[in-house]
Amino acid sequence: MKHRVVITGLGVLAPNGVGVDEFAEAIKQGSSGIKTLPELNELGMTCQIGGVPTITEPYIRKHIPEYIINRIDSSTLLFGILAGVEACMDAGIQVSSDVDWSTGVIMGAQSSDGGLASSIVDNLFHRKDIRRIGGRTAEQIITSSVSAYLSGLYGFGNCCRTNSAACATGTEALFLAYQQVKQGYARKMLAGSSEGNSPFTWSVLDRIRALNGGSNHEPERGSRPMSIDASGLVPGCGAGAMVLENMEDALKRGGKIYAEIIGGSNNCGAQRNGGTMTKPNIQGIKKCIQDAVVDASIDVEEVTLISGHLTATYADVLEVQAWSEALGLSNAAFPYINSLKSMTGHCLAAAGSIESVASVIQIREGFIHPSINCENVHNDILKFIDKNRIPQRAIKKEVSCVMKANFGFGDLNTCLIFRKFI
Amino acid sequence: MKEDEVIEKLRGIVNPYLKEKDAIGLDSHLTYDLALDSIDMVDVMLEIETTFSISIKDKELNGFQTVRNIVDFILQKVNGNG
Repeated sequence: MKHRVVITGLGVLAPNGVGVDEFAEAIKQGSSGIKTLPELNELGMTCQIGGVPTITEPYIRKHIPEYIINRIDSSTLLFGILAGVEACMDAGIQVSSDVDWSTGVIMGAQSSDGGLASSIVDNLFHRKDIRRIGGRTAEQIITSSVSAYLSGLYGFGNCCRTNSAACATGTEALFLAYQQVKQGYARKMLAGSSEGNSPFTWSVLDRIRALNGGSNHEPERGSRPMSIDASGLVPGCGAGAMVLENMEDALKRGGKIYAEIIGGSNNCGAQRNGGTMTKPNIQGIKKCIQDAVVDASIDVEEVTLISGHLTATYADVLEVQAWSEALGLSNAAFPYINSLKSMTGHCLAAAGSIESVASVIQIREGFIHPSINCENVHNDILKFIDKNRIPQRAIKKEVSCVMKANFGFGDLNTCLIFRKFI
Repeated sequence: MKEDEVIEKLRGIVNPYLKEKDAIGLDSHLTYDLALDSIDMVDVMLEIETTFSISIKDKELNGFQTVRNIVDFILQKVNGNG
């Protein structure tokens, strides 16, 4: 038997808002979380701006027991646990002394906290002083720690996994969890992803000239997806998480339901037809979008909003073209489309989960957030869609259906479809 | 160094690893009572080495079952009877 899958809990740490309420207000206002990061200047990076969540000590203590706080050095781990715990608290999940075999967790990550790992290697390993490498180091450098900590904290005994799909990691985690509940393998899943505050990771992107090095004097204007002067992505970090639950259980216990996941798709362009490790096979993207529509059994005209991957490179043009051709919709008939990265930067492995939380918030509260810094839409994008499809300010509107996609290095694609729960 | 002083310092080292604060007693079993795992023990031992300026061999680590074992070991090392 296949189950309908609903969303009953949300958690988020984004550069422009920590916690769902603060984040919801920020995206409604079009508030940027991009700031000057002096550390990037000291490293000699071309791009010296980025998005890092502002987390206070009281916020951490409100969400994580002290004995766990003392064990965390990695920001990947900290962000992921905080988002996961917020989602569980929101869904009313209690810490269980017994094992809850029906609930699982999939929190993705693309790497551990690179800065932390490199400092251990530099200070201890290369100096042949491995005896001073602490026991907790293992937990800091394995990417599965976020899932492991959350299952240990709550007693989740169903699957405990960590996926890794570069910038599609977050959306893929939610897709995998959706499948787990839909197929009846779990009754409830905590899912999302985390990206640590790691200039080491960003320096790699800086070297391959993927980052915007020309906006250091105006950080909040630095991330400009779909704009004529889009100049590369701005790095970010954080985490997003959701509790997915089978509809029967959620209705029975009378919990709030934010939205439903009605379908999705996950594929790989296999680096064919022009696709490479870093460039997408457009056929793969279009197939992913179309397969998601088929999986959800919807008419494409039902789609209110596309939450794009849209990183502020020329790939934005290719992406919009792919959406238009895959859905068979263009110009005025094209759905609204926005990019959260205009406000948060590209949160890499966390992008998909943070943007999915934003998608659900827009359904819940009935608005479409602006895609900021896009006053002058790229001419090649205007060949496919009307300018007013990209909101410059928040639009108050019932949002019944959102398509959310992310694409990652390795030619990886995932698309999810969220719908207002009726 | 007196036993009370060692216990007090040890309490400060171990407390951050415990789910229940101040659960530590002299006869507490490290695994069954305090739920310290092998990862915790490596970090606790590193902190003991730094705090008491002593060195602990890996094989000595295996002999620690209770808090009392550690206290006795530290006293022997610090007071020069070991």
